[in-house]
Parts: sequence; structure tokens; C-alpha cells
Amino acid sequence: MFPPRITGSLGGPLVYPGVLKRLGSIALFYLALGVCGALLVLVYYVAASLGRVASVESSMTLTGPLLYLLIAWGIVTSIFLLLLLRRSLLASHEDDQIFLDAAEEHLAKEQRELVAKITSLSRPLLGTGILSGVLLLVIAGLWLHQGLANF
Amino acid sequence: MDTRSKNTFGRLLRAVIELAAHAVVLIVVLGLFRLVQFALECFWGGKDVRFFDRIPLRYIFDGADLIMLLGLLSVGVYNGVQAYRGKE
Repeated sequence: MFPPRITGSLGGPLVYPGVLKRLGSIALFYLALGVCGALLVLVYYVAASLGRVASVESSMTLTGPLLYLLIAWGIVTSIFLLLLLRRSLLASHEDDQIFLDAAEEHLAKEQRELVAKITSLSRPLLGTGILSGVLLLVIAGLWLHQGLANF
Repeated sequence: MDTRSKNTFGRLLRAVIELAAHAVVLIVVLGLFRLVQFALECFWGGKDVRFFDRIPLRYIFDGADLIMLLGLLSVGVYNGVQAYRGKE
């Protein structure tokens, strides 16, 4: 994967050897992102300047439905991330063992409850994830529509 | 400290190191961008520098900053979560 991770997996080394090289790769990744961001603004302005230049200034401000949609997206995405965090916390307590002894029935029961909790989270996770994605697409579409309308 | 607590601590430590590395690298890169912006402003003389008399220089660097911060929020956090989960 890019950029590479600098920490090893559990049981392995805390930090991989050649950490400076990996940090360099991360720096390159952010540098490339920054250049892309600058290019995006340039392309946007060049495209807008082919039309009416005055409309560019007004289209940079976030008002009306776009602002409300962004707020809604922020709330939905926060809920989605919180649910994701809760599921990963619950999953970290899940054991990979079979309880054969009847005396350890309470441990098995605990694990069953844990699995039930994790399973119950999957539907809200899917719902908020899809809603977040759809809202993001709507926002992008609306933003493009506004940009094209002012073009 | 039992094994589970040790494991959780190890996972958290890895996630924190991963996020801290991304944050530090991003701060350095943001600083570099700011330096370039400052140099360009000094070279042209004035704060309101515009390319081709139309595109404000500040907007270009703001766009770069925004995309890099979004990169930290997405890829940095993803790497942190993967480090916590102990996955490659």
C-alpha cells in the first residue's frame, strides 16, 4: 500500500527498519497531494476565466443548500466513524478459541454476547456509510452544477 | 499487566506512532509550502499576488493545504486504524 506504514504488526517490530525511507515516501505522498490541490485550483480558475471571471469570487463561498448538506454529511460521517471505532474496540476483545468445558460456559456466553453486539452494529454501519457516500456525491454534484451554472 | 492489556497498549502505541508520523511529515510539508508562498510573495512584492492578474496565489496554496489535510484525515487515519488492527 502507498504510503507505507512505519509500524510493524503486533508481535513484530514496533517500527520497521529503514524508517527514514518510509517517512520520505509519506512526505512524497503529501507533496504530490499538495501539488494536485494547487493544480485543481489552477484548473478551476483557468476554466472559470474562460467564462465570466466575476462569478468565480461568488462561487467560492459556501451558502444555502450546499452548506446544510456539508453539515449533514459531517454529522453522518462522524456517527459512521464512531460506530466503526466501537466495532473495532469490541472486535479487539473477541477471542479465537472454542470453549469445550461446561465450567467455562460463562466465557462462551460472554463471547456470544460480544459477537451479537458486533453483528448488531453492522446494519447501522452500512446505513451510515452508504448515506455518507451518497451525501458526498450529492454535494460534489451540486458543487459542479453551481460551477457549471456560473461558467 | 495481563496479555490483553499489553496487546491493546501495543496496538494503541502503533496507531499513535503511525498518526504522529503522518502529522509530523504533514507539518514539515505544509511548512515547505508556506515558505515557497512567502518567497513568491517577497519576489513579487506584496500580499495580493495574482497569476495572470486573475488567480490569487493564496487560493492556490489554500487548495494545496486543503487537499493535504484531507489526505491526513483519510490515508493517515486509515493507516492508524490498520496499525491498531495489526494488519499489514
